[in-house]
Amino acid sequence: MKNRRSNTVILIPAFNEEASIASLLNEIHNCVPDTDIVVINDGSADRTAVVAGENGAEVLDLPCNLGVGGAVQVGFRYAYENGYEYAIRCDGDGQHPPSEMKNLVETMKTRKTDLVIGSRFLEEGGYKSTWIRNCGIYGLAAFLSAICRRKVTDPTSGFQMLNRPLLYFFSCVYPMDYPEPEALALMRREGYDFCEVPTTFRERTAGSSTIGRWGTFYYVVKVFLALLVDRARPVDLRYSRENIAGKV
Amino acid sequence: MIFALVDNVTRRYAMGWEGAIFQRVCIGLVGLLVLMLAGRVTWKRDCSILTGILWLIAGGILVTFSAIPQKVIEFVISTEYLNRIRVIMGLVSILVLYITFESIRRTHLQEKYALLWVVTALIILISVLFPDAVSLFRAVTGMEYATAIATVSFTFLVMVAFHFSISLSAMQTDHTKVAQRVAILEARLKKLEETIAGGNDNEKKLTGQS
Repeated sequence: MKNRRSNTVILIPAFNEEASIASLLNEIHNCVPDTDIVVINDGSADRTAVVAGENGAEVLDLPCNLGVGGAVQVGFRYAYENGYEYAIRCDGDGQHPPSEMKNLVETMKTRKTDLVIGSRFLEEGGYKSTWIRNCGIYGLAAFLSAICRRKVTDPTSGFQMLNRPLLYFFSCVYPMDYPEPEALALMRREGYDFCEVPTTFRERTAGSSTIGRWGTFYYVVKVFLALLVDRARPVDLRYSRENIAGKV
Repeated sequence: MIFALVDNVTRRYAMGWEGAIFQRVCIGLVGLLVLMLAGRVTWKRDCSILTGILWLIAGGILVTFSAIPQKVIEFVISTEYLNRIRVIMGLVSILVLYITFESIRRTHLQEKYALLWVVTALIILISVLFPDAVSLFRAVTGMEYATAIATVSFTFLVMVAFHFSISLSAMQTDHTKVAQRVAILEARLKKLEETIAGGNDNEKKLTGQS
């Protein structure tokens, strides 16, 4: 399809974000003008899709709620099928400031890597959260750094920029719930590379986190299990970095 | 020793059966209620006929149970307990076979999922008809008949449950893919519609000018 205006697309998975999506979209229009925006409406019960459409975004309207992984993956697939070179992923609740997207773009250009992650913890004192969540994130970060052989400080960050080969890989293989840490491990095994840039996240402007207090335990256990099981799988060479370089 | 104990307890309950009027009336009334509701719902076609029949059977069993005379009870406990288990397990296996068959016939169930159920029911049925086959099993494993049946059923039930988890996971994967494709197609369709509408407008303008 030839109806893209830019070579970068901004993907925003949104679930019941009616209250915050309009201001977020306006902000993005101001910060990074002339960039296509795709809002993935993950089966919201409110008017998220309508509001997003009215504010100049393309809307992918999922007929049922698939969870973060499924919603993000359809965005990747859309970006890949429509020939975009890069995709920026950012959350619909306004936690990821659009003004920081320039950092991602610049890092992607200078470092020539497959994935750039906006990290809350690369700079001191940026982000405050509950201690239990910090423990979980710290443990995950340590484990992921070990198995990825790259320093990971914020494995759960959903503020990312991807290039086209990685878009192809993720549109074929992507974990379903709590996908970010597992996706990192998967892509490293296929030979993709990533780096982090310091980013200041904001407090969410509306809505509430999808992960509650007990959810944090479940999150950590589930992700550790998934990471371990993934290690036991053979690497699928069809999607590896060398194999699809130049083909997509 | 243990058997004697069990038999004593059974006998005590059996002897008390005739005097337990209140309990029997209660059971009978519950049975009648179930029969009435099931009959009404089935008649109005609010539930599937299969479910209705099952509930009717349940109600019937309750009513019959409350109406069993003392002599029948005494006759039943005088029979060998192995035979009683065989009769009950036979009825259960026939019921399972019937429900499975009926579900396939009504296309509620695909054959591949029904296979495990049929095998379970058949194994129990075989063990009911030929207790000697079980005694071989018993000689090898040292399990009593009832335990053996329970083990076999339980094993198969666990396998069926596991099968369900697997097919459920496969289904969720498929359903995710379908939903994603639908969303992408819908976006494309909308864009196409806009393009076509735009084209029509331009044509109208052109014809209007000329």
